[in-house]
Amino acid sequence: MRVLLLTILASLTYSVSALAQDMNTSVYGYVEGYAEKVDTQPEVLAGGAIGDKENVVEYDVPSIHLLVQSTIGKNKAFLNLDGGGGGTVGVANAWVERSLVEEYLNFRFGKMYRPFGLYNEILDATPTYIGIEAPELFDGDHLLLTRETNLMLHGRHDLGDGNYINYALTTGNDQRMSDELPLGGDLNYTMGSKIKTGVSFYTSGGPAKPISGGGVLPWMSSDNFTVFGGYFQFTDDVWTVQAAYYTSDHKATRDVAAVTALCTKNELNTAQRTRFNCGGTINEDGDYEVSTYYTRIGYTIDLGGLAAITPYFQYDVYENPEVIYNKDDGGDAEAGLADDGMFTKLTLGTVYRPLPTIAMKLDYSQHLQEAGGKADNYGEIRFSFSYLFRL
Amino acid sequence: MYFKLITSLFVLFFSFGAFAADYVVIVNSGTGVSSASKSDVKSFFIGNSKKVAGKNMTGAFLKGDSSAAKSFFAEVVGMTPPKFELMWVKKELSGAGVGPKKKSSSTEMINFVAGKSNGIGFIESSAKAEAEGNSSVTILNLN
Repeated sequence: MRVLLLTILASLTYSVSALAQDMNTSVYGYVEGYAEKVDTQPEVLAGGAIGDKENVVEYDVPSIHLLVQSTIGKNKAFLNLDGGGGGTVGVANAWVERSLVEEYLNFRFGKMYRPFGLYNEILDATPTYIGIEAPELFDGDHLLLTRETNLMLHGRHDLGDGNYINYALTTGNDQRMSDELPLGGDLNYTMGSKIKTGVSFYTSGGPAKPISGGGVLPWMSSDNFTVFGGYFQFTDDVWTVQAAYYTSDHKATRDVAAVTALCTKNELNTAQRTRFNCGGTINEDGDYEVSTYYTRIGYTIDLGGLAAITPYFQYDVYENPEVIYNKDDGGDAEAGLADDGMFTKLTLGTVYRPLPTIAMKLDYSQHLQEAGGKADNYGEIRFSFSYLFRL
Repeated sequence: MYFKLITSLFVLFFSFGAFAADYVVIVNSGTGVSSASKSDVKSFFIGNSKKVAGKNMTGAFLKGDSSAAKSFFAEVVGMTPPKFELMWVKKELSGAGVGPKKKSSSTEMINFVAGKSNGIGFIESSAKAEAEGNSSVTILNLN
């Protein structure tokens, strides 16, 4: 760690010469309006019974982003302000970066989205990708790990002909309890602008604690966990094809008081009550595995000028046997509804772009799962309208 | 039959001509660069490199509905103008770099390149004479 800090300080000393160079600063952002209507859907009632829940149309502005990116010489700064929901404005990203060894090694420091597969770094770029909702891997109700971290070493190696090996190693506060060293990484190969394929990994580096937006469930007293997966993307002027698979292994210990409170609320299904042993001594052994995979396929039709329409299909599967239904208790209304914690989501939709900077998306999903001992399904329709601007 | 063949050859001839000669790449004369490979220029415009012919450059592109943009992006960059813009939006929103600036006319592009000591861009071929008349601008030979 000390060697790293000394290297960075030495590098910064040399950066004085960079001050004589031009500072290049860009300000841009986007706003997204969103509406969704979920069909009447199953819900877990008191005593674990399955009932029906009526839903109304919900409106939201999930994405209001103002971004600033500035470079001078080998140095870069990036700020991503997030006013999602239309309430308070938060800082999604704020980091500084310096190239240490040309493009082979860069040092990034602050608050950043970790490179992890195809989506984590671009989830804020909703207008640019097919689909409205994030892949289940990054659904905020059942994240596999924190999206943000604090320190990154990254770079790439040029293989010639526009092909690169890209690599990144990250660490930060994440969910550590004291002096653990959480470590994340992503290694991928890009072939021109058409193919990207790689693997990502994460280890909590020891016991981790529950926090909002992390991979540890709130009723755990500690959880030593890992995440590993791979991904593939092909994209050209017409086709976009993506696929990814991730799995997460948890060596967790349940917090008896927290689980007792869940059992007392009596909003768990039969499988969850059995898993926690609600009727007797609470089972503290909270080891479990999460797995998820998705496929996304889009086909772009040129409408002339700069306009295009892209019909798309998405297939998501997510399985987490530990998660409960009630979101107020840190649960997830999708996986937590299913008896075995597994659901499948099929989505059909389309993106219409009159210009590359304006996107209107409409899609419909069917959620399939087994709840209350029988196969069940419900639909969900969404509309998103986003506009990107630049000062 | 002969009529069809002649018509096809006529269309092919003119469409090829329009495709190949619709754009001219220009750089600021101060860079000292007069020729570069297409792969070098492509690499610069898609953000894989900050250099063209070994020199750091600052780029701009003509808006995508111009014929110069359509042929430049097809022939040099290897993607459509909307795909190019989307690619940069994605990079910019994740902090992975800032794309070339968009210019709405060849005159605007010539002024940009002339005013930027390391400027590079492309213009309609019909504006080549205007570029040649500007001492701060050099026509780049692509090879």
